[in-house]
Amino acid sequence: MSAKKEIPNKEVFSAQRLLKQLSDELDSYFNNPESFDRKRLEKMAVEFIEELKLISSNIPSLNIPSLKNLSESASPGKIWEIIGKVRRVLQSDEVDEYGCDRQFEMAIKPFFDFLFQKYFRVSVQGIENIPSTGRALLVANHSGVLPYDAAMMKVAIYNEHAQKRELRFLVDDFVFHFPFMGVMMNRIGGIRACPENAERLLNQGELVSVFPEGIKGISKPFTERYKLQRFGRGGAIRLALNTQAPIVPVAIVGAEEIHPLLYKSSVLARPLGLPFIPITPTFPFLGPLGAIPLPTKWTMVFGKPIPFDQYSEKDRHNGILINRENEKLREQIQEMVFDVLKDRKSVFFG
Amino acid sequence: MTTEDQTLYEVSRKNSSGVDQGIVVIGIHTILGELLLEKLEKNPSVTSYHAVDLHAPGRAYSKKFKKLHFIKLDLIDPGADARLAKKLEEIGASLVVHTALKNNPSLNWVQAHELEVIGTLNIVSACKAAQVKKLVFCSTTAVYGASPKNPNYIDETHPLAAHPEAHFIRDKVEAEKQIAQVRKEAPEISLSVLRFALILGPKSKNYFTELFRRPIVPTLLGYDPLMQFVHEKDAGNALETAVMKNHPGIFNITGHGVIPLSYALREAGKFSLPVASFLAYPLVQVLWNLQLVSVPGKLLDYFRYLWVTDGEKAKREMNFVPTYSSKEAFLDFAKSQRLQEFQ
Repeated sequence: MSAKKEIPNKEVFSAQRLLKQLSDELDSYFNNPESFDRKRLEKMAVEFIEELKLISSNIPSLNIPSLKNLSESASPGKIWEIIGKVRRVLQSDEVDEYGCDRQFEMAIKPFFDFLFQKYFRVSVQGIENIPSTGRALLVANHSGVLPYDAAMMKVAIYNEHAQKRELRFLVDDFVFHFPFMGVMMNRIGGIRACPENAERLLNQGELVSVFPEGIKGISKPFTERYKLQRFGRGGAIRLALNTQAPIVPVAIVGAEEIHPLLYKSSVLARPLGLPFIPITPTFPFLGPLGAIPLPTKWTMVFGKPIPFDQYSEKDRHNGILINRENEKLREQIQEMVFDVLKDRKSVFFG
Repeated sequence: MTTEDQTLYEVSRKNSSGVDQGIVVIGIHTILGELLLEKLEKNPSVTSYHAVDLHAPGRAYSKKFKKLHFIKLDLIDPGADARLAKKLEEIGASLVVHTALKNNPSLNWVQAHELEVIGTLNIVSACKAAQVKKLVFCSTTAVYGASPKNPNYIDETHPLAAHPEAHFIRDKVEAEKQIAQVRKEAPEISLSVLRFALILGPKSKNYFTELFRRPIVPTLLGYDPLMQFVHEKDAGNALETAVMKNHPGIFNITGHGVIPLSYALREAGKFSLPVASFLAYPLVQVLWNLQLVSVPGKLLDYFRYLWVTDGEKAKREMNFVPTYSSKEAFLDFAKSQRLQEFQ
């Protein structure tokens, strides 16, 4: 900062002016995001950085316009201000009651859109079966080692449904033990999977997706692909009975082949707190590259909603009924999966 | 019906003409005790009330609280229960408010245990013996424990943390159990249990607010739990409602909404210093033993996992609608902190 006196005032003033403009522009973005002109902001930012370079080049001892020089030539407070504002583009000040930050969700959505449209080329059928308003429980088959199917379902409903409905997805407990993963899941709208949470969400009229196969579903070996596992202990049916929410059966085809599971090791996984460690043709032999899913072609079918409001209060604890309905639901989704598989000619091209 | 020699700063009862409702507040040096005294002082339908504590209120206090009759009593003395029962009978107490649980973890956990568990036991026995009509117990939502297995909104029926390692929480859970016994053994006593979320506001001082004294706040790397607060004013209102009206049962008292810890730190203009959790637990325990931090290592779970509670029941049954959301309560607290720096 000792060199500050030698900087010609003119450039400093114009840098200050630009910074002011930049901060006004960002403010206007927060007040009114719709009418936000991204090009203009970028132009202003470039101008400002050029100005800073000019200032730093005028300081004899600092002729290389690097980031270090920039931060030294401008006051540190201002730099922090800019960093803070950039962060505010990624994060809002508020989360909803479950910890989801819409701004963060929207900031990373382009990545999931890319997966949905370009990578997995998901074709969606029967999206109109999802009610436009009110509660519904989406029950789907689970597969593919990493839960891309849950993410794609969320994108599908947001992008394709006429009402752009938000899907609430439930995340297995173990995720929340881990640093970063739990927080990240929470900020994009994941909620811990437990009956209390699901019931609360449904009672608030939300769309909730569940994967009753759970870890058994995503960890089934490649040889058993598209064979639906046991549907837990009928938790989904219980939920529907308790909240009178209709169940929309969902079949997802294509997710089984993204990480063909050859072997899973539970022994190695236990000390890490993971449910299993997958061995696929690419993982762990290719290291982190092996975590990239194969670009299969997906089909997602939403079936007709099954109503659950005809049952009385007493049926909520009727174990036989729950078990029967549970098995019926599993068979229905299994059939939907087979229907799609019958018409599928290629794993990668549909 | 006298308060005799122990009454240190008694204001003459001759002035008070109304009916004595026999309200006894036990523990006046906690935030809730203070809040309640203020409320009672302002309430025109209360003409006088009694307060039990080990330490007498200071001069400023006795000027501020004109209706207060102080009774000096050590809750952990042997025979404190009999003495308290005698006092309650003398006063003709009909309503006892127990706010004597510690706000903060204490290094002297033996003494804290005596106060919270044995003290509560003594209060419970005294209330039963003196045939008090109503007992209000102030607890905290921390008794549910912080865990990744908690549902997002814990309701009052959720089991209390069974084996919390931290003494601070374990004592509170045990005190809760003592109180729960009252429901079984003396169903004639109308029992209200209020579980308060972290109380924030200009006055509050607790293990959480201590974090915000320094410009750099250590956090756990990769964990950012949703926090929930209740503002002092709302806490005071809820406690007053529970005292003045009859609402038996257990209630979570909390502001609506949640705010992640990192967002709160940012709002307060603090820098966070993330520390890996496997280092943080032992490190904080050592610092705690040296009394350099306000929480023991075991309590770090509360800055790591979820312990957000559902305040719907209080809204439904007690008509308690918080005026501050969790975020607003936090902002009000942060504002007063900043002001303090300039004072």
